[in-house]
Amino acid sequence: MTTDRDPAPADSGPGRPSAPGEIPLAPGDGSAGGGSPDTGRYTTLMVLAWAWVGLPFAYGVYELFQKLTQLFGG
Amino acid sequence: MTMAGEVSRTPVSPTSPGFLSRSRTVAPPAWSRWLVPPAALSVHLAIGQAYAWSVFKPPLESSLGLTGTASALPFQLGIVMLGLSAAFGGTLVERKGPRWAMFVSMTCFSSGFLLSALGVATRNYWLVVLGYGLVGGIGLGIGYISPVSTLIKWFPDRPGMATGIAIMGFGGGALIASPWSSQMLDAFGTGTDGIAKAFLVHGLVYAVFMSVGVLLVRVPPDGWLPRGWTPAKAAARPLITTADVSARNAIRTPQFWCLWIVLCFNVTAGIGILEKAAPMIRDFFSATATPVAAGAAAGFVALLSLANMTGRIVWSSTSDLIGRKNMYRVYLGAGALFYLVIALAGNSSKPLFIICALGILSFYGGGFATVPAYLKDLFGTYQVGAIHGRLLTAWSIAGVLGPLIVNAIADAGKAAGRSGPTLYTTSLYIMIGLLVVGFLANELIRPVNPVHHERPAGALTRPEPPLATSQGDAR
Repeated sequence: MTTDRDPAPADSGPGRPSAPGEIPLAPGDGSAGGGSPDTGRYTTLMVLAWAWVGLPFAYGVYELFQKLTQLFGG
Repeated sequence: MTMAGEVSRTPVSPTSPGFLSRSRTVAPPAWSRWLVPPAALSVHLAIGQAYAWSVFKPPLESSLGLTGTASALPFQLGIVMLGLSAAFGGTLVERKGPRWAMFVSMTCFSSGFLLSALGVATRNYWLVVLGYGLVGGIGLGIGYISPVSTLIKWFPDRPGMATGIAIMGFGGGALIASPWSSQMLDAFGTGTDGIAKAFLVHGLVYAVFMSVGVLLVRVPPDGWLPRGWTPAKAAARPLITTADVSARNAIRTPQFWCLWIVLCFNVTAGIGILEKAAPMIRDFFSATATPVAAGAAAGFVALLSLANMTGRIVWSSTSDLIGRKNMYRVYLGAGALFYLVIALAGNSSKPLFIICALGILSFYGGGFATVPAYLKDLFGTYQVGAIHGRLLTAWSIAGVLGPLIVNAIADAGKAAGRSGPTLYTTSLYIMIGLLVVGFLANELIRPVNPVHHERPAGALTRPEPPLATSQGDAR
């Protein structure tokens, strides 16, 4: 997991494209530093979010392998 | 657009934009882009349920007295609506933002189940068609394209992997729904009451499941880039542009239509096997010493589903390394070779048949998952979701074309008294032909003419040519 984001000021309109070759680069690392409350909060959120989708998916894969085992494994 | 930090700190006033608006979804500082794939997956894993509709077919047929054709109609209408809503709703999705799109998808998909529950409970078949097919189908189309543009903007350095994760979720949705729905029918019963309860639970559970995506999804602030990555670095590769093309202009380019042919024929080739997998493997080896039993054929179908799903993430991620054009050369070229091996080997080797079919299905899934990144390479990120929506009409055509070719030829062969691999030989050679045409269409793809590029605000002169202009290069 990473938090490699660099928020940059936006002065273009919503949805407007930047000029070719002129996409504004981030001025620096604007993310919360290590140990900040935000970092801890987002780490917890990350675990919960991936578990939310990962657990049902794991259930589906488990059921699939059960089926395959029954069919080919005897 | 409001800056990310301001959005999270500004109190909501009566004049603030609504919760679903794009400006309210701009990511706050410290937000990780790795929170966006689970948001996308919570939608795709839900709407992928569509591929598990067959679980409800037998109970619906027995309880409502339907034919097989009638019980398939809600699913078929759902797929048609998927293509139409993706094609016509794409621009709206781009304008309104991913949270709005995911909310619409959640509302339509869940409402479709609730209407179907009412339809079954009142024994009104057409309410099931209207609910699951029409209303739910809009949820499928809007949901399918809802996270694509956002993921590409968060992962410009790995767009293939990012969209591969989401689109793999669509394949994975059936893996979850198939056993879950079966267990629910076992618990509630397969009469009208049981099916209605199952539909009701599906509608409510999917609403809760998808709502996490609605709450979690964020768009990056304008100009945001991954640390240490620049568009110019990516654009050093041929065919990758830093310019932007609108959806309206994109469909006027030959690149769009070449890619449309590529997707259509790659899907046709895959779906031809997928739709008829079980009877096909049984027919192929019926005259051998080891014919395939019905149970083993079901296992073959499960294996194909796994290959389809795995191909979506593996091949799409690989395309980030070797380039989109090369990846489609593999899908179409190696796919044609796999078909040729099946045609020439006939029923001489079961493992060879299975390996080739798995390869074709992994390329089928990979083709779906890689195409958003290919569009991003050619047309930029500006309206890539809307362009993707329009391209999905190729899926609708292929969904009819593939099964039609394989079934019509097999039926005609059976009527003529043929059996075994010969029932499919003509179909196999047609698929090879289609893949070759798709291969050639892929070869014709060149960088988009700068005349189609969007002009930056205030620009008075024509845009500069894109950085990637080396004609014919393959990455």
